[in-house]
Amino acid sequence: MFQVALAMVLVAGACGHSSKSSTSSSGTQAPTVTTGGANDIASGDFGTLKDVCGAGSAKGATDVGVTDTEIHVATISDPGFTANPGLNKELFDVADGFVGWCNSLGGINGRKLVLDKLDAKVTEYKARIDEACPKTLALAGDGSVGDFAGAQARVDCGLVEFPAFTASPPAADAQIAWQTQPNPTDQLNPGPPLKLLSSKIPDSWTNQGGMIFDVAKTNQERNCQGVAKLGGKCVYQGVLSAAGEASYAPFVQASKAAGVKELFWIGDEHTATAILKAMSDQSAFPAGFLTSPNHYTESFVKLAGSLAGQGKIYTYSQSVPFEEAGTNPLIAKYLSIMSKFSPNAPHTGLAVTGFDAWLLFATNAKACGSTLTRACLSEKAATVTQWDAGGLQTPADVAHNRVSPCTMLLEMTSTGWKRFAPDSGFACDATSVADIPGLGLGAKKKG
Amino acid sequence: MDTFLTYTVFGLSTAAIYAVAASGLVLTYTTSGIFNFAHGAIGMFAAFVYWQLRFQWGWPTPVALVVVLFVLAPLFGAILEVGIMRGLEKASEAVRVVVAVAVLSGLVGLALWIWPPNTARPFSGFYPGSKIHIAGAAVTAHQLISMGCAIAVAIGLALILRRTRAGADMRAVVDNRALLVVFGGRPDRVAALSWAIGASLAALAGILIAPALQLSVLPLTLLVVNAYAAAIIGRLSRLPATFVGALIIGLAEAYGVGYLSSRGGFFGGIRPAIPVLILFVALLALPHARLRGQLSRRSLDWFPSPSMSRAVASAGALVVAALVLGPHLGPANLFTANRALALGIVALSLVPLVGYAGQVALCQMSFAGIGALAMANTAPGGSPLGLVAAFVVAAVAGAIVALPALRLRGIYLALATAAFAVALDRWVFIQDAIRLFGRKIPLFGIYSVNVARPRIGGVSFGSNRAQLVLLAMVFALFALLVVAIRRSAYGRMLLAMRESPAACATLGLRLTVTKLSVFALSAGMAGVGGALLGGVHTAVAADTFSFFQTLPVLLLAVVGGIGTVNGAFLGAVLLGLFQAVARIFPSTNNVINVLPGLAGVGLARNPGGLASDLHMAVAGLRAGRPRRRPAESAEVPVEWIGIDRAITPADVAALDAALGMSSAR
Repeated sequence: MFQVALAMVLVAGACGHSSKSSTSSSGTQAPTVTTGGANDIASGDFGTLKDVCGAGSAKGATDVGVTDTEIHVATISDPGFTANPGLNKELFDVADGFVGWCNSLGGINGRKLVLDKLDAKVTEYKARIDEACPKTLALAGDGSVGDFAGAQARVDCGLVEFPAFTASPPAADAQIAWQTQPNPTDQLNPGPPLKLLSSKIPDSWTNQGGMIFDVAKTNQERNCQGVAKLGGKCVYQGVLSAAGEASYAPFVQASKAAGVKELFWIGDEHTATAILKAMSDQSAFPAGFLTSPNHYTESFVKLAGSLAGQGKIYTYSQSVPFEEAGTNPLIAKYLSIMSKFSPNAPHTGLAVTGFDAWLLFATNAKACGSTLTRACLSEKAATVTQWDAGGLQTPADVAHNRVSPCTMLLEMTSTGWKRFAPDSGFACDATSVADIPGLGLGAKKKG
Repeated sequence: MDTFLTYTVFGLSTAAIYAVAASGLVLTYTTSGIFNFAHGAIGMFAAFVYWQLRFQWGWPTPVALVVVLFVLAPLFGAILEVGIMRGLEKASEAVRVVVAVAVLSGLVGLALWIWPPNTARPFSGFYPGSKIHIAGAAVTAHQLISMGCAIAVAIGLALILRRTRAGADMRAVVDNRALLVVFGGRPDRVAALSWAIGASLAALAGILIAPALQLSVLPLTLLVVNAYAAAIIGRLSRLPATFVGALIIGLAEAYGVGYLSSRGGFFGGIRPAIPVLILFVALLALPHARLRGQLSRRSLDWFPSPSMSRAVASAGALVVAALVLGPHLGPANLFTANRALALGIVALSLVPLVGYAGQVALCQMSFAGIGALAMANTAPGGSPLGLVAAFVVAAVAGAIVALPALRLRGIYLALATAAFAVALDRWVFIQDAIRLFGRKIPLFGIYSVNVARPRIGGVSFGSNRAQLVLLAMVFALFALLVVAIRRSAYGRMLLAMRESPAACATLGLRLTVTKLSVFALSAGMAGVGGALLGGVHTAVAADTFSFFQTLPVLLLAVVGGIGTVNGAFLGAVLLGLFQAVARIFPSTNNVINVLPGLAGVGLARNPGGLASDLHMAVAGLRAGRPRRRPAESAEVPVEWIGIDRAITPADVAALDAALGMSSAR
């Protein structure tokens, strides 16, 4: 039972900061997709990205982990976490899927990808960085809840990273990390979904409420700071013990008494379900219950779907939802790639974000051509100010690590998720992103 | 007023569940003298089993309930008592605590193995949807049933204890076990029965609380910590007072949510710590326990006193081994070894405190965390003064904790230190910063704190290999210190205090000073261990130092052998081995999670730990034949010694020990 108590604490922390870590491996149901046409996985195109992977004549051992024929890349996740076995295992699945697909097309400029999957188990992140650094060119599609411990070591040794998510402030604001869905500490990260939902609920912008675990409460205070900056107001900030509460009814009552119309929950789906149950018992649902995006899973629907008829339960996504695989060729192609190269990959928001990160890595690596180095990867990434993964995700300024002003909302039904707003694509609102004082803890080069 | 009533109703429904859980704790403690730290884990496990039967296999509710509450849980409780706890009657308090912790650890590991956490397991209460309104608050049928259960449990227990022969036996066991035997009672059967009932009550509490929490292993296991306070208010023996205690906790929690702002500086975060603060206060309010000697402990505990030259040689060998092995270890193995050694230092700090002095403290990782914070705040560049600060600040914290806890012994001390640790976890460590002496000192609130690796006299211990050598040196130094203590008059004083505080006081030893000093020393060592552990990770978060991190360290230290330096080292080696195996063979992860629990349960057979086993084996090889530990004497109350036969020299020794007349061994 080593590190037993970590689960609640750190998982919650991660959700708080990254809003991306999923504790579930059973994802959202996706319609079956027929391959062919735009979904032809024999093509290296992905949406607007042309020939992400393919044959080529790159040569030379240009940097750590690069040879004439191979590129060593690593991904880090936490599936061996004692207190929550299988945590974020989809990052490994997606890495298998992407690398399999890419190598089937000939690799990057002809060099095959060699994947190292490193299990940080939350508590061993520093050791995994020490292991990866001397032999791999870069980290891609990775993310560990314990990333605070090795963020500095990674920067010190120059290991370039294309993370699927970052959890802690030292990692979220770190140098030579290029994040497809940035979450810097100096911006209100959930601004776009909060504001989009409040535009659908009268009087809700000045009657915002939040609930979060105690270990991440700073995060909620900072979110409310951002909301205030945009003219809104938090009227209730509930702080729950990460070790579990005996009853959530008092919190629901306090939130109701404060007049909360839109309640933002950052945490895990078990606790979310417990809160929703208490709301159901008290008939005290707020007009909108918005959950952090790690709740975009099938298992959350199984837990709380029966309550979806009583209250409005939402989550948000920064990428095209699985439900649109029938109409959106990008998510369809993603699913085809996974079913061929990593059939056990669960369909979760985090999995797609991992894929986004791999696309960003591959695109930059390809642009470096034959002289593939860590320095070149960063140089190329530093010019990417509009990244949308070929159309799979909301456009974001990766180079400057800025929050994307775009988002979309999903609403829970008794059997699954359905698009709530906007009617199609993503809604973009530049006024929904607020600057707040950063924490200034990001890992950076010394001197 | 309406709101107040509403919160009152919420508080009452939680209190009902606490009452059920706490009464189970009290029942098992009174009849067996073992505080069941695994009580919550049993409830958690039962809730999962009930879910499996009721929701997964679709059994009718009554059938599933009867099977869990009246068949499986009591069976488990009885087996636990007969198979494990019964052997602990003469074991030290540390071993009793650790065995219960081991059961907790094993159940958690098993639950995570059988029911992987990433699957949805909807759990609804009884009669979902039905509710009535009281004072503006909706009370669900399930909550009403919970309150009904609490009342039924109260009446049922009163009837059993007052009106049945088994109940009379249970009460008799508490008062005078030997007398009960004389009158033809069977204390063993009574204990098994009370554990069966206790497990059943744990299961009931687990099933009642599960709909409100959902099936999540850790919260279900940990929630019972809140019920400890209720049990202590009942002085671990009185059920009516326990029910009152449950009411106090339940209501305090509900009012806390309703009327305490979660914001507003340092005290704003106090709400989650309320139950453990009540626990702490309740412990302090306990009547002063009579100073007592203890019976028949000596044959089971093992405190060898190695020669100084041998200790120096072993310490040197450890450092040389670190120098030699370091270059051959890859980053992963180095990390495992370093972390294990740093935790080994914390384990070592337990030897004088828990081993020699017999004071069971459950907040050693909290001291380690204080040490890490001291290092981070005083030596961002890795100055060795940071390690000194870690020692000093943690030692002061140790003395501060020991001060109010001075008059507590045994399980009460363990619970007080647990309350301190949990209060730090839920309230202090997660603050952004505190102001001390006009200085703002950052804590773990903003996720993590960076801890520098030491740089001593121009030598940087920045690399992983240098870390290994440094850790080995610090471990070796502390080991020598502990051996020196064992050989000193101070060490004999500690052992004497463990054997018989009454005798010590009679002989004029100053118990207060001795207790305070050993607490401070031990906390200081743990602080240094924590500072170095922080350096191994380079950055640490609060949970590295939580209450629940203390348990495995204590567990492995006791499994290794809490009476010796070697035992602490063996504990560290075990820790490292478990983690190395789990890394090399990821498929064994689940087994590894259950192993420490099994190892701890094994203590019931051999409380001396691995170190004593190895010692016996080696000594046996030397002598050319297996040597055995002297057989335990049969259980005879000291005042009856010699009644049925002539008094032997061994009896004289036992009498001396009981009267506190012998010198320390």
